[in-house]
Amino acid sequence: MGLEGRQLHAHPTEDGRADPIDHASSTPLAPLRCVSCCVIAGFYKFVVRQRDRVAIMKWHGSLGLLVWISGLANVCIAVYGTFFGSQTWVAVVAWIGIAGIAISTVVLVFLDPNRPAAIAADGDGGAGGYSRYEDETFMGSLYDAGHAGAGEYMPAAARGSLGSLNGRSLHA
Amino acid sequence: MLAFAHHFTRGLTVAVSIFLVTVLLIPSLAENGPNILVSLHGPLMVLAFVLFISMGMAAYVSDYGPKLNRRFPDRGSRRLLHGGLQMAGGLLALIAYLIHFTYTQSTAGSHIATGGTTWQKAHVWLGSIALIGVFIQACVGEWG
Repeated sequence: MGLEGRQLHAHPTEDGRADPIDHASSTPLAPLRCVSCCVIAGFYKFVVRQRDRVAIMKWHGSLGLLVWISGLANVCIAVYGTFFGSQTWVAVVAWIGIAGIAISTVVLVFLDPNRPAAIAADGDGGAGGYSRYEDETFMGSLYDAGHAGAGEYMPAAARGSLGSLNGRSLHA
Repeated sequence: MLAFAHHFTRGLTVAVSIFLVTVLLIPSLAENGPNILVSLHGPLMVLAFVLFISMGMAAYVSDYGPKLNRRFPDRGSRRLLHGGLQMAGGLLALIAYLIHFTYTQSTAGSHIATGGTTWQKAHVWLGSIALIGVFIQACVGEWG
């Protein structure tokens, strides 16, 4: 934590000077205060990184896929426990719907077949500039495929600026 | 064709979410008992994982039509959209978890479904993993 962070927890002493001892950690609200500081700092850093166009960690996309699939699978389990047996048709409809969402989203995001054409159409220009954040992972490549169709409905400048969740440039 | 696929996926996501929220919520509202709050656990989780997080996943590539595409024309704006949708989903999931946690606490039940059926145990553990994953992803997405 930097100087600013320490100052957040510094309490004034009787003579008015800042007390270097961290009293915040001894109060019941200390965890809440720390979490609040982290959230605010996180949002600030997120906005700064947005502005500077810095890519996020490589495995964010891979872990995100796993978390999302876990969540959908858990909804399916809950549907089984709640409806299967009493209202089986509801469970079946829900499972088919959730499976449809999972398949169509994954296909759109990861396996768009038009990606090579989109890269060729974009050429080497564009407003991307993410090539210094290379991601050569398998999932990174899959995720990049999702941006292929962007050119069909976005202006050329926007196409160039679309990269991937994993930070790999379309033009890499 | 691709534009249709985008619209179909988004329509399916919204339709399944509405269907699940309805079938989960209507019986609970009819009961109108003291457990009305805990009945929000399911619908909120559906909104979180089926609606918001699914749409957040596709936020980078989705075709929202000419008007919205102009509003989110580049990677930066799409990343903000992705972050906003995932944050909304994460918050809903957290609220849904806290609702059930409070209910279990007040009824002196088991937080890990001790003595429960197999599906309940699977639901608890997979749900915990998913929720921790959402928290990690939110931190990585913000700090990365």
